Amino acid sequence: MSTTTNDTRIGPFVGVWFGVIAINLVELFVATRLAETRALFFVLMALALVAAGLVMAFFMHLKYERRNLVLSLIPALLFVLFMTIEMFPDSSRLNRMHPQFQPVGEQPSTQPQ
Amino acid sequence: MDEPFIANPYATHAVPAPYAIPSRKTGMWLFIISDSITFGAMLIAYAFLRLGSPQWPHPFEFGSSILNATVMTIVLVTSSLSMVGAITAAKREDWGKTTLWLLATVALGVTFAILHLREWFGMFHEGVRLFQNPWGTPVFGAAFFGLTGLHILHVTGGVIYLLVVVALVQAKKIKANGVEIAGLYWCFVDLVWMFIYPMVYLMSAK
Repeated sequence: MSTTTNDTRIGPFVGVWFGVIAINLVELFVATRLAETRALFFVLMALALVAAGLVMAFFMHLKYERRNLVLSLIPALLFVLFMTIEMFPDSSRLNRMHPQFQPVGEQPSTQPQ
Repeated sequence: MDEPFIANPYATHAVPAPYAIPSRKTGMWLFIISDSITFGAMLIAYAFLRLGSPQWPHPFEFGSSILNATVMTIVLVTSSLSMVGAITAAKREDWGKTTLWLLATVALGVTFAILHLREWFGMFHEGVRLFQNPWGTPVFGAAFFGLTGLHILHVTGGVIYLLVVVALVQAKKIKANGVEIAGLYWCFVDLVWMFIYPMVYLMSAK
């Protein structure tokens, strides 16, 4: 009944395992190099999406399921998450409104606000 | 109209499965999607607080803490691979190897939980509580323990679920499909960690 892969060997999945580990190590490397918080956030989330996609496609076998299952599940999930992310730019505004916010390149003030 | 499912709407056998998978597997996918929304909301809330707080604490050292989190990541990804091993063995109807792969997955899950709890106790020792910490934004504790706590709850639930599957394999009361459904849940726990590791640990490293 299931259209899931009939591959009964673990071998093909070892490459995916290496790939996911490699992406996590790249994330670690990027975190040691990139200092700017916002840029670091977007780079790390992009890499995390790739790793999560690999896990979902291969380890969870979604790649081998019927396309209508994927089309029923994933767009609805993405839509809900997108509607939640919609308020995200507010985090930047909140940060800039904070009395202790310092633009990049300026020394923090020692005077009490 | 001679379609049987219209004449008798309860005759589900007359309706072909729309996704060509068993209904239990569809149910697990629906659970995973709804759980994804829960985790998604928590991750977005965490990211909102992280980017919106200029005094966000950086408690994780690139030495010990980040090394611990990286080892936890490798352990969890490896447990997904061992779960795939259990599924492939179950499809071959090699139930001995299925049990061994499942027990390996359980062992890796328990290792992950122990490493996580070790880190939690280290943070307690440093004075981090749910609504206070010695470094900066007080909400850090609630955001950190809320998100990682929900995840460790899923890991614990997954370990119990896998132990039940092992018992069912031993009793010969489960088929390959049942093992695959358990694998869906376990790999989802791994998938969520793919976001927690960079967002919680790498973005708060010093």
